[in-house]
Amino acid sequence: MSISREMVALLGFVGMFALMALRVPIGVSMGIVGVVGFGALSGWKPALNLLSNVPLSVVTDYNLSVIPMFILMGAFATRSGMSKELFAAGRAWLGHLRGGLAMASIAACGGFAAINGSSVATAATMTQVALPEMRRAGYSGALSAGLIAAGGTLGIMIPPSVIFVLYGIMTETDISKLFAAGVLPGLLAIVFYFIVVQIIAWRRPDLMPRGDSHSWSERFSTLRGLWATILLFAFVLGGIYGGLYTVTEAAGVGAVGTLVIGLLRGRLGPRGIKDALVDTLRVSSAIMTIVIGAYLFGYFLTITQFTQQAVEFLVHLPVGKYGVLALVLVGYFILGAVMDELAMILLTVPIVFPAMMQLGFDPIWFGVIIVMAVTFGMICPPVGINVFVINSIVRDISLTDIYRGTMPFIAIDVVRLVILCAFPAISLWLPSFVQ
Amino acid sequence: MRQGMGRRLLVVTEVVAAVFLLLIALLTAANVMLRDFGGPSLPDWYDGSRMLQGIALFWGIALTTYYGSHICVDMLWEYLDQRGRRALDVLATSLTAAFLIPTAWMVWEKVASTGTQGTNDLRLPLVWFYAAAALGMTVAAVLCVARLTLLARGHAPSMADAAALPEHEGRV
Repeated sequence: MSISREMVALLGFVGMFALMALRVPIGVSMGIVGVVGFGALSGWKPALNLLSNVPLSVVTDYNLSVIPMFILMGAFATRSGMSKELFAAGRAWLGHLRGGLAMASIAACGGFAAINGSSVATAATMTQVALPEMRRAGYSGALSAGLIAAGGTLGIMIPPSVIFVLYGIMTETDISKLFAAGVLPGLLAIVFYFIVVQIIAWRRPDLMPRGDSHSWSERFSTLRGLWATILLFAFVLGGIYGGLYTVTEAAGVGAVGTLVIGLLRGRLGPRGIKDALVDTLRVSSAIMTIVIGAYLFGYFLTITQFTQQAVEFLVHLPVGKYGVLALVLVGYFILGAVMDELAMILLTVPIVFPAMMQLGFDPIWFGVIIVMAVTFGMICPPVGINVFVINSIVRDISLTDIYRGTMPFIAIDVVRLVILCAFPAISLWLPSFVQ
Repeated sequence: MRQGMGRRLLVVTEVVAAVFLLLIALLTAANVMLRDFGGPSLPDWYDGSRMLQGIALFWGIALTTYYGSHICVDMLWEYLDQRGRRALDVLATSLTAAFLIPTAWMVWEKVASTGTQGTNDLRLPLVWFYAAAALGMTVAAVLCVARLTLLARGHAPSMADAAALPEHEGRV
């Protein structure tokens, strides 16, 4: 009895999700199904050849060095205390307002996002810096953790962003334009989160009491500590847009720049450097395992011709281009509930991107929409990676409570997504200045 | 004695990979600075960076595998009791080993087929770098089996164990 290729592809997806549910690492799940599926259709020798070529070609791909380098930049920044300085400035300027510490935390998330490309790193860092302060000031633990989970998503919207890099590499879209496209949607997110905080603080002032007021001299003195963050941001993005270096090079230059600043300020010693390197190594290796798995699974999907058929199916759906976009976004919400955002991007972009381009959408704008869509998966139950990370640091706030705390921010994110879909100019205005 | 050797292997793995990661950043930054200030390009900075990256990441995968810090979906695991979690971890690690062992073997096949290919500028044999990377993948497979053995005995190595490594041993 022979099975059709479509059925093999379907079995592949079922098998992959089953392995993931069994807690097999996501990259390994995709890799196993990819190799076994490829072997079933093309023979075992070609399948083993995939194992011979793909892992080594992925880890030696220079373009992908941008991922560990931007993560390293964030790790050095954390160890140099830059995240603390950002929060201190936010607290001095906003802390006396109702919900002020919450807004300070969001602003600090936004600032930290500008020198680090990872959502998880932003959430983890701010959990250690801002959450204890908010709880000490009498803030609701659930709400504080929820807003940090949401604020963490700024890490992949505001440049530099690991997800934009991956999207850019996969779709051959200009990464510097993608970075520019993420700026206004990221700032919009900060404004919207501020509005949510103000509404909550107005309705339930007991959840977010006012903090201490700071004198003007204290406020201005906190700004002095921000020079390193501003310099770094300007150094990395200024170099990219000034034509001094490529995005890939900027990541390495940024990492070394952060190291040098940390050393000059006496904030980084041998132990701090080693810890930052090892942290980066672990995160990057986990990400690269997913990339390897996604490539293997991709080869399997290619020979089943599933990708082409899925693209055809999407393009010819009788619901119009915005109907297809809406369906794709719903698909992302569902996938986000069970999958990691990187795996989601790596698995879906080869299918969804060609369909969206055939439907006439802009590749830069769609990049922003996709990043926005995957952020929901990071804070929505049952698999919200930011929520898991925060819970692993603060064990006394339950997952359920953190998820409850994210709800107001998820609601405003839906509004933001609709606005970004309705007004592509918000995403496309800044990239129009990039040569 | 054996435990001491195991710990030393972990520390060496960590240090080797971390140093290579730092070298990639330094190589990239140095090349950019030289170029932008009108100097010559560093010979083999491009091939050197990507080869170091390959070595660092394969050795990094070894550590990530041993400490069980790969990105996983915990949906089912969260709802299990202690015994159920252990059983699931043993199963997941067995499947991971079943993937890593043939991968390590096939990466060595790739090393063997590299022949006399060299880097662009200095013509350094690629086989040296590929072999160092393949060794990392082999260590990943070995450490995966070690983790499986420890899990079966009821001890799951975790990031907390990594943090507990003596400071002087892990210093870069």
